[in-house]
Amino acid sequence: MTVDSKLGEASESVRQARRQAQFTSHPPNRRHQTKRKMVLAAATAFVVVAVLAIPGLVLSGINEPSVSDVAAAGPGPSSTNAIGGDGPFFAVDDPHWTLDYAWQIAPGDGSSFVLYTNGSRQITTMTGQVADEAVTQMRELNAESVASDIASVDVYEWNEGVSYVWQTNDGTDVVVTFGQMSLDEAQSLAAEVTSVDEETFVDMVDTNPATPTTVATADSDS
Amino acid sequence: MTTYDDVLGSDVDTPDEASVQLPGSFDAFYRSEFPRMVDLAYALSGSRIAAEDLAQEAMLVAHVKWPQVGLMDRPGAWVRWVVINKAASWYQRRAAEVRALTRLAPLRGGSFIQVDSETEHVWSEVRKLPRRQAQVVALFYLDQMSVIEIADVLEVAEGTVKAHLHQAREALAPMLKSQGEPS
Repeated sequence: MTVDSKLGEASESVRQARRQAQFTSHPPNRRHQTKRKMVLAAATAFVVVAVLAIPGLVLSGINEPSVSDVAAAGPGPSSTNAIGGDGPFFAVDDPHWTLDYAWQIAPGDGSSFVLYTNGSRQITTMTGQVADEAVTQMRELNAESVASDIASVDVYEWNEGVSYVWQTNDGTDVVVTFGQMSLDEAQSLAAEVTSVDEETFVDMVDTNPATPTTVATADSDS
Repeated sequence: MTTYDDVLGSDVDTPDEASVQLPGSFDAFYRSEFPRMVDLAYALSGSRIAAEDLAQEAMLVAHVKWPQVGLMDRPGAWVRWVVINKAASWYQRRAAEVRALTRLAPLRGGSFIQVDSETEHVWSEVRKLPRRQAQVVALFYLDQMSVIEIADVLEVAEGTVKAHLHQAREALAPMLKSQGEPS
């Protein structure tokens, strides 16, 4: 067998394995059903991966911003709103749902952010002000609304930031946090959080390598 | 001429208002390119878990830079370049990621693919090649790119690509032959 054919076979093997993994890892709908069953049994422990401080005027200039204040600040070119800026931030999950990546995009005329699962399946896209409208703007990548899976959206404000917590109908919590979060603050959202790691994902996004990133994790043994 | 580095280092928050041209759909780009980026990242990193992360990170950069990247003739070439560079630097931060992945692994389920030992052997030998040769091999065989396309991705001459490919094959021949094949 030639080098050519060996490399060709090895390449095809990788492609096939990837296709199979994607199919079995993220079957549409079944994933939600499975998640629902598992989360009902143990919905407590989940991972909070919080990210970076956004030195926006809204967050830094007020101690206890109201939800309406944050939302009313609105997106804009000046990036002074609560979700302005272009850094990474993060996501959360429970132990039975794959880790979500999230990042923020600030196109200039409207803030938005996107949540991806590790299998690249986009579960959430939000545009505009993130508050009351968030639920209705949740979409899957195929534009099919998943709003019916969302039970509630809560907004937690803490000393230097704000967090949005979505609870799905099956009990899954999804948290997106803006601003640096201390362990105490993380635990105010999820008592299971046992550490706040300021190192792990600092270099995750090369476009902003100096950005301090906070990763909070729940105890994986729980 | 705008280089890849120019795009990476540019400020997307201040677009050129004089050139109002809308980029294509990032979602479509993502869906068509991401799986191949995972393959490429796997070939060059040797870790399926890291590969997905590397591909995600590259796509993240593409997303942030989409107003510019989306206007490129071949945004796929650009994002491959990002993946290749990220894979190269992956080893430097591997220790930190191993810690993170170890912690997160129980939460992520079994969604990562497993390749057979022969396939893993082939790619592990590829990764032992000089970096550029390994990149050329991954792009040529796994990503099924032409020499011209690879030259475009790596920003080198076509002759350079051909030379790397030839040298890589020469180096791999005895390595791959020794695995379960009579000499």
